[in-house]
Amino acid sequence: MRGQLSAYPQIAILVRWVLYWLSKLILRFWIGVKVKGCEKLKLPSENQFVLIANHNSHLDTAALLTLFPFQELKLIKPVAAADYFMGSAFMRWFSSTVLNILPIERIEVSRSNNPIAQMSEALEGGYSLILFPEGSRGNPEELASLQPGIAHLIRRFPSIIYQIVFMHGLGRSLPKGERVILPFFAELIISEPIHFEGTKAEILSKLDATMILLASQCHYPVNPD
Amino acid sequence: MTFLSTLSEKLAAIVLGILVVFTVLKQYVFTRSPKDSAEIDSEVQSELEKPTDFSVQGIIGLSIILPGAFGLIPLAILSFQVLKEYFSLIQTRTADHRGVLWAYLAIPIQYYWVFLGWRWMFFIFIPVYMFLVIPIRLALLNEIKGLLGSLARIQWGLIAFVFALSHLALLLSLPAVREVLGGGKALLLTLWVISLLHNFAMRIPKPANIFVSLLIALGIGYLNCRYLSGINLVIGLTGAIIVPLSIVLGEFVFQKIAISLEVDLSKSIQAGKGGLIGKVAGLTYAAPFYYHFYGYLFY
Repeated sequence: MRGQLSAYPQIAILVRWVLYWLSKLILRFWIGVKVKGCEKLKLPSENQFVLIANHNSHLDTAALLTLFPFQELKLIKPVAAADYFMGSAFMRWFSSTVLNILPIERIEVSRSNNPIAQMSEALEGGYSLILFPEGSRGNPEELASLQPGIAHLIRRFPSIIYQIVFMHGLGRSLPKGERVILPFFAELIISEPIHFEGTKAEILSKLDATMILLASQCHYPVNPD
Repeated sequence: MTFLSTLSEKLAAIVLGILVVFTVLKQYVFTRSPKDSAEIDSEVQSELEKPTDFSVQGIIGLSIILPGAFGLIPLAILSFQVLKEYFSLIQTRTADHRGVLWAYLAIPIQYYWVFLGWRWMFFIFIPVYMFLVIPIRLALLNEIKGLLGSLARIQWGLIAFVFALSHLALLLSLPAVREVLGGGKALLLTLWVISLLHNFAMRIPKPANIFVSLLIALGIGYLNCRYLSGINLVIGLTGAIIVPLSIVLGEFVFQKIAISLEVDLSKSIQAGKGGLIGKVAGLTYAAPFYYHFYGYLFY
């Protein structure tokens, strides 16, 4: 199952390649994203990981994916809402083949489409995941409370590398409901690999605390409103 | 269209070359110096760690050297970068997205007026038209809470970093006339060199620093009148003195604004952090004052 990029149509690879470099250009030169701690990231071909990040903008996924070399992207699955990303036929093709997302159900969750089971299956298949445990983009630059499902996943896969990324500024560049990407300096702050243990509440509390600690390292003011 | 065809361009190229050599040497010394070494005392180390800070000065120098309208491009990019940093530092509401978009769109338009030589539109586009249009756009969104504060913040950024800074471009575009033989490039070169040396003079302890800066300005002003632009000596010296005085005023105002934003401008000049606002603070005052002084007299 791991690395089945050869199964993708060539057009999807081309679109993905173009989008990858376009995103890099926009994020680097138009927005001016600064990354702190990039050297702490592992390559998915060498170490399987789960990146846990706050979510403010559609740019978040692009910003995280462009931290890795293009050839590594086939091993990374951003976890995304099926109701949003699998709506139309084009979005289904684009999301699953180009973005390589792992679509999870948010509305009618059943035993068969349980998000934790889907994520577990992807991890067992060798993929690394990008997770936004706040659930949705929410208000720009505001940290929402974390969904408890993340703690279940961590308890099920304790040996995988977990790293937290705090992103700031992208929610101002492209907030929910807007279509034009405006330049605001943005920052990505990456944590060291974190080892979790204890109860669900303890795991969530550690996640919250790490996110707040990373937020305190931001250069530009967080939560300006 | 030829490179370095005028004396102003040649002099600007020499000064820019000196800045580049100075920057490279300083960077070389900094990267070679062992951190925490007992051989280098902390004061010297601290001096070395100060960022070499000629990015804005380099952009202005480049704009003088580049032929024709190409000189406007670096200045427009400077306005864009500074406005971006400003919007990143201030509070904006989600609803302000559309207003900020208009503010960014104003940059190429404002510099286009300079390119066209349409000075009347240059002077009213931001203070009048943008002042009227952005409130309409935000009012249409019907997000009332904090509307006036947002409008004030957006308009202030636009005035300071696009309107005021674009006076450098307007200065650049002034033609040579009988009273100013070197034209706008000679005037901008004079402003540039005075502001550059003012930065060095300000490192001298107070209150001698401002007097040294004024003396330097008078010296550069004299050289400008005598060898570059042929301006009347009294007018040339007065114009030269305007530069350090308005830079001091601009920096004073920006320091107060930075305090009100709870932002440390000295911190914002750390490498990789943007940090242009602190460097253009004085120029946002010097450029309009200096331009209008000569504009009223000769253009």
